[in-house]
Amino acid sequence: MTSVVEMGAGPPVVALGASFAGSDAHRLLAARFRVIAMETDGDAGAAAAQWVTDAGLEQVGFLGVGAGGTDALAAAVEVGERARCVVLASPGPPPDPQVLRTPKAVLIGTDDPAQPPDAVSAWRAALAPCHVVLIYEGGGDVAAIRPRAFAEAAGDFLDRQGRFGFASKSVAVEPD
Amino acid sequence: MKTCFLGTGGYTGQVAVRGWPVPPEQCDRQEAANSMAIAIRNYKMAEEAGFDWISISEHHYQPGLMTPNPAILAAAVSRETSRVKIALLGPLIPLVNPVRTAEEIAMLDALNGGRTVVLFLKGTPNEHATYGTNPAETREITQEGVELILRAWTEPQPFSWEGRFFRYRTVSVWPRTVQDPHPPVFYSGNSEESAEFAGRKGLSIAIGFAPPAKVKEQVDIYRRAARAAGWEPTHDNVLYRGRMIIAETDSAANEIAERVRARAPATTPTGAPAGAGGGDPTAGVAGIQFVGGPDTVLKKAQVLRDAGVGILDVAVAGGGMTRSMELFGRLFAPALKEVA
Repeated sequence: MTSVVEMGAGPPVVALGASFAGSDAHRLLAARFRVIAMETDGDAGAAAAQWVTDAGLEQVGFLGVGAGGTDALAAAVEVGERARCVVLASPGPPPDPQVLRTPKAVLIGTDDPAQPPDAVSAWRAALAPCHVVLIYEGGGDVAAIRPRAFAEAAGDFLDRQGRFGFASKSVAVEPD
Repeated sequence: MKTCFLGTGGYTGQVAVRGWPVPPEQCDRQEAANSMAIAIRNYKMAEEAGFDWISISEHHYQPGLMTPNPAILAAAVSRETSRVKIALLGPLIPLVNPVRTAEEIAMLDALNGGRTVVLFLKGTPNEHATYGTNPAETREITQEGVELILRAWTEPQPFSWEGRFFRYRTVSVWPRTVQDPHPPVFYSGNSEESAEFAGRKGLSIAIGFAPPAKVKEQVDIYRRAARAAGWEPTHDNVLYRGRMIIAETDSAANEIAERVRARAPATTPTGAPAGAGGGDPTAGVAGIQFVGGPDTVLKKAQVLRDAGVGILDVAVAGGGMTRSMELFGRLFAPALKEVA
């Protein structure tokens, strides 16, 4: 059985992972995107890819929260060029290296006990090329522990990928 | 016991108005250049006198401690010395860009061949007005900034940082520090909370101007936190900052101390009350921690050593800098090395 909880409007993002649907992180990200949170008993990656096809989406971002990271990567592989990018939030230890040309970012807490000491290098090697975002004091679940930081970093990457390194907000004291 | 010469980079001209901030119009431009030359000369003399380290702190908008960016003076001193550790005691994290600071210190470490030591501080209350820092947030800013700097020095690959106070989407510091993994890092040990943080994070501590009993209390807190985190600090992890007035005899030193006390202002050059302690290196004016001839100073140093201190960071006076350095090198430096 698959459950789908949608929030927000804008570019579509399919979010996979338990406990994300309806969370603060979901609500905050929905301020910028149409965020479709899916949970399924079966193969979540295949289910998400099928849902994207059935919905006729031409471009979609994938978000994997926790163990949903593996499913998000699988879904991105499945839909091919329709995957705009993939963001993984606190996905557990780095997997074996895999090839996926879709732009990728990994968000991990600076104090995540599941990450190895060389987490930045390991993730960059496993998903090369990819951005690794350290969420200060984000623990083992950055979306739940620091939802605003999660939404800022994930949202900017989902929005801008290659220009993620550049600020988009004015730093003028009087922007108008 | 190791010794560290606390220099000031102080203005050598006359200033009519004290307090903070001091209007820039009081700064004679040529005297500013002379002040820097004198500061560098003093640090060179300190190396020759036998100090193990020299230290430079960060202060703003006043003439007494004219080092708003200590890394600049440290770079100059690095090229004029060859042996002493160059200690930035230290950058004020709420006032700086931590990644830029990581880059500057890495440059400095390359310039001096790996002689850099650093103490990260949150700054004195008046200095939080320098760039509009909210004083209520300085502790948290400093703690996050320190963690970010350590990451910037140690991560071999680029990363992004999403903090509570700092956001960087690309961090990839060049050059790397000569010291591997990074220069020794000290943190304030003046409060229970900061000593506990330092112990937990594997940092060294610096305690300023406190009496020995208070030093022991802080060191005990620090050691307990370190043990809980799985490591054991040594004396080399504990620095004590104070003022030292020296002479060949106690009576001669006391005479100098009386003259110093008589002309001491009610407030320090940074605006803090005289004798307030804390992180202000001038705050001991009303309470000079070491006054005496060699025997007296050594006894006081031994008390601090017994409290856990391994490095004495001292502003030395003894009748002019040249005379003070000659005295220190001849009578104090060799004996202080034997304090154990």
